[in-house]
Amino acid sequence: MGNKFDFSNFSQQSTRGILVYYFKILYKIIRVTWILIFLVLSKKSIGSLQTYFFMVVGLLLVVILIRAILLFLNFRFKVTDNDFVLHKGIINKSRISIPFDKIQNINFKQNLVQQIINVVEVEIETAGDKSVEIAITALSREKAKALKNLLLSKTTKSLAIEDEEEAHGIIQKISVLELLKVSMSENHFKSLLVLLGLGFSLYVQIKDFFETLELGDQLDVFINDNARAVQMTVMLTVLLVTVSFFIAILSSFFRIIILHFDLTIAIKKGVLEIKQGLFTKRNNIIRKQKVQQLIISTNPFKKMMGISNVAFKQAVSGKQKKGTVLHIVGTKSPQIIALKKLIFSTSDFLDQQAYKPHFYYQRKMLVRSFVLLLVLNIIYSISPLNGGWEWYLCNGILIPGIFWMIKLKFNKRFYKVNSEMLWIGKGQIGTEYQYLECFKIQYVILKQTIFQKRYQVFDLIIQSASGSMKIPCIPKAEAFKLHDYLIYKSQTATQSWM
Amino acid sequence: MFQNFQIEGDLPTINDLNYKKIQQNYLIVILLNFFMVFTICIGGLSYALFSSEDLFVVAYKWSFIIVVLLVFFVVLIAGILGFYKRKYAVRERDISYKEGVIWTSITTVPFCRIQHVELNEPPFSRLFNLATLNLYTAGDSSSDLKIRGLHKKEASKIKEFITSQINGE
Repeated sequence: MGNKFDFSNFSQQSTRGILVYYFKILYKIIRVTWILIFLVLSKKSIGSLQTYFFMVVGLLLVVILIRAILLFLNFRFKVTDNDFVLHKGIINKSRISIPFDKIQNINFKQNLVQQIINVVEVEIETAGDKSVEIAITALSREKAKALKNLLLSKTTKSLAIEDEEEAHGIIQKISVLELLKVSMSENHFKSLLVLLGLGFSLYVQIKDFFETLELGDQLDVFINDNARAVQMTVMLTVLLVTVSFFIAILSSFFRIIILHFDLTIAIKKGVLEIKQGLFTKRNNIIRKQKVQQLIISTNPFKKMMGISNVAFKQAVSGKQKKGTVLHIVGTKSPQIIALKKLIFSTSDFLDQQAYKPHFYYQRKMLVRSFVLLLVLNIIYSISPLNGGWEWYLCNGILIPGIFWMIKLKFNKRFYKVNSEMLWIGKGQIGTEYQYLECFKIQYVILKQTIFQKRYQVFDLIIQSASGSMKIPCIPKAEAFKLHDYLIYKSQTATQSWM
Repeated sequence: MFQNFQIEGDLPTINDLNYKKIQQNYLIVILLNFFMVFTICIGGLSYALFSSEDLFVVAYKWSFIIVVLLVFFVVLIAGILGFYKRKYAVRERDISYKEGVIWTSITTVPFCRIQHVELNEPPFSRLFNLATLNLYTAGDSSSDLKIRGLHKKEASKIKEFITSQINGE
């Protein structure tokens, strides 16, 4: 590691950073106004209006460029003996200084533009109540590495990361084929919901725009006409479902590829480093102290392929809410063992009893589902979309279906406790395991509804710095004992929870 | 039951804890807050309803008001009943708070996890020398435990106790 970079005096980012700023601002603007642009461009009439429009656009592009240059010129940073200092801002000048001890993580990121011009974005995460997340938008990879090594060497926590070229310590590297397999096994309904959500927000955007042009009524009439024309026969519904399914699979595939392309997990000197991403390459460091919960999720398809998804839930600090859960996919069994060993001091639950919920849990779900089914039937009977009495036959499939699904859900619910950790299992078709070390518990809540009172059951909610976990419907004596035990573990902990 | 990790002796338990009720006067504060919100809502609503010329509104305005009144009535009853259920208990190393009528909850926060403590005196509470204790732990930026209707002296005593326990360890 050469000392060609002098960080003790103020330095700026790579000049190419101006381009990165430029495209970031441009992207933000386009995301909001794309519909306006599309409509104006598609209007073939009124030539003079179009030229006027293009003049405005041209002016806007120049203004963005000036802003990008100013942002770049006003961004300076240096590393002193005690802290990392950053000066930034054009009108709103801010001076930020971060003592080395407060630095939690240093991550690299590369979006599409950054990849093309070959710069790296450095993210510095800090701890504390007033946590800040510093992002240096464009440094050459060499300079970024030098800065990272310098900052890490200055922190009192031993986090020295060696050169990234070291290949030993890599425990997982994913190929595109494996990603394909992963995407086949995903929960496609989630992707479909995401698509529907996007589609809906798109519809709202379009509708809003039409309203402003006073074309709102025309849009509604258009939709209504087409809806009435479609006779919802059984065959058509099946076709619709199959088509949606294929769209869902496709969207799962794209989502997985974009988020997890080239996923590489390496363990170096007891620290986990995860690299993944297609358009935005992310490089995240995970330290066991910051990890609050580990969540391993799988489903029948994944089990067949021997893979699971793993999520690392880290502490939420102050205003920073996003980016605190890190997901990886396609993790195989030996890799999961290695990850658990790295993050937890003891994750052996072999001798422990699996505690199941009280049967009230089943009863509650059954009552809720049947009430819902009844309400749906009632709505259907009075609704104008009524397609005839044949649809009531669906109940014949739905009722046993409900019983089966609830039985599954009940069977998958359990929890285990050992001397250091809590393990909660849940799921229905898929399975999810949540792991939490007892000394990371922040506080505990015992909840009971009026209905639960009759059966003397409680829900236990365990709050950690990264969110809460719930154990539903435990009998009273067991609930209180578990509560007391968890509080005791939290209070007698010698390690720091973060 | 948890035989695999038996700890020396019995664990401290919250099962037989003596919970203390919050101050009686706080019921008046609850009522005051309620009626303030109530008058504003009903006032605004009546104005909107009676000054509207929409046919639908004119025909149904009384039933609308009755529904709203019913809702407020239910909220009031729930608030009063809920008041009697609010209790708290301070132990050496944690504080426990019970509340709720239909959904009862017991929240226990260990002192060693409290990041900071706030004592607030909302306007109506201040009239009766009452205060609210806000406890913050890690993770959420909003208050994790709020105990309203404490006597001001009691609240500051608890605050000092918690602070001394955190600093002492």
